[in-house]
Amino acid sequence: MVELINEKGLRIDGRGVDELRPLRIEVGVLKNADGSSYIEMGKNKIVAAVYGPKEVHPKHLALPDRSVLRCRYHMAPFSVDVRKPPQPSRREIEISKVIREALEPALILEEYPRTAINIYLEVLQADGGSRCAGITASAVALADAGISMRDMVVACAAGKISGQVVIDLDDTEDKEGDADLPIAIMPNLNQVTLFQLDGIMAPEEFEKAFNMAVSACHQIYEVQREALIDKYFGKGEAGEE
Amino acid sequence: MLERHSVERLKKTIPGDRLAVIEEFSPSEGTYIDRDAIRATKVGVKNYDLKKKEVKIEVLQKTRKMAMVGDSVIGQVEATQSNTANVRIYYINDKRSLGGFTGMLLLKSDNHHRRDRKKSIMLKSGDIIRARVTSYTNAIIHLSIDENENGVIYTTCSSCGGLIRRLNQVVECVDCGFVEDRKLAADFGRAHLK
Repeated sequence: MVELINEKGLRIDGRGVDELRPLRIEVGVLKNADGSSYIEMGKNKIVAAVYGPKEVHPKHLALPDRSVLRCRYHMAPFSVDVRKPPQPSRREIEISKVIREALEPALILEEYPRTAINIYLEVLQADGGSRCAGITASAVALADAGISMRDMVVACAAGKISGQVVIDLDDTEDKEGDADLPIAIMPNLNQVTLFQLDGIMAPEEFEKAFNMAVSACHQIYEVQREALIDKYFGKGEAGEE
Repeated sequence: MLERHSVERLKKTIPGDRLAVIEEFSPSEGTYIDRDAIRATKVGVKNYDLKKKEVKIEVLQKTRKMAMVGDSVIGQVEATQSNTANVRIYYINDKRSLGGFTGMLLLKSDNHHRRDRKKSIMLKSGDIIRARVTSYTNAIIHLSIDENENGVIYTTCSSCGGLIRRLNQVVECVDCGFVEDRKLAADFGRAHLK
């Protein structure tokens, strides 16, 4: 049994219970994509690319009144300690769907009828919380592609390890912990777009975890904002309101 | 008093930023209404028009453009039938489009052009044409080459693939002498693509 929180209240990587892993977001990292971003969240390293709006193929999938959003979350074979077969696994297919559904409420897809917007997420290195990091990166890539959005989307997980509520679980905490609660929000609109819970939490623990995750999302949003402002207005120019 | 630098900072916006309330301003380009607020949909610079009482975002990204009614497009004819042609669009208003959009060119039954009336569509697969977007009915891009400046801007001989020259509204192959009908654009052979 791994000791997830020591007697000083620190987690295995030395963080406090309400501390995020180091976070870095870069915008426009891929020349050939319409929008792209790169995120490092702890040991997670993910590239997001957005293509579109473009014509839908096969054409019968096109919707007459809005764009079709498609998402592909893929883990590179070298992203985990044991080689992952490159074909899409059940988990990747499910996470692709979950990410698409988390981003869809933020996009004004009605502006692009009969088109498709494709999001590609390549996980280069995974260390727990890659779906949340993927959502955060995708939102930045979509904004970089100039797709009309109601708000940015930010995601972060909270969870329970060793009986304590913590945020931003890494791989070990995710596997050895008692519960995992990934959420995604639109920070300006105060709306939740993703809500999952794996494990068991008491109602008061759940409430605490939810509030901590929302607060963490707001911190991540500031990094998103800074990354976009840096790209379009130059470094050191971030900030508004 | 705010310094100039601070004012510049305040103008920068990303999607979701609250720009104004609907009692004070009307939404314009790059904005939308969320209950009582006007919010940004894109990364850009806020611009308040105090005369029109409008707020808009001067967008900084190069968004992939969609063809709208009235736009001039350049594309390649992919397939033709007696009175229709499918066109793969490569340029929209002289800007490269990577969206892979296709348009449909229909021969109008009320077209009074002598050759159009006689010969149907007067295009061949592979022709590079300039056309105008006339409608977006059923979300299909409908194109027209009726105007003088629209039509074929580059083509080759459909018999031998050789270079061709213009003879009024027909083209003749320089190599094999094959003569074909084409609806040529006014600047046929002189158009420049970026």
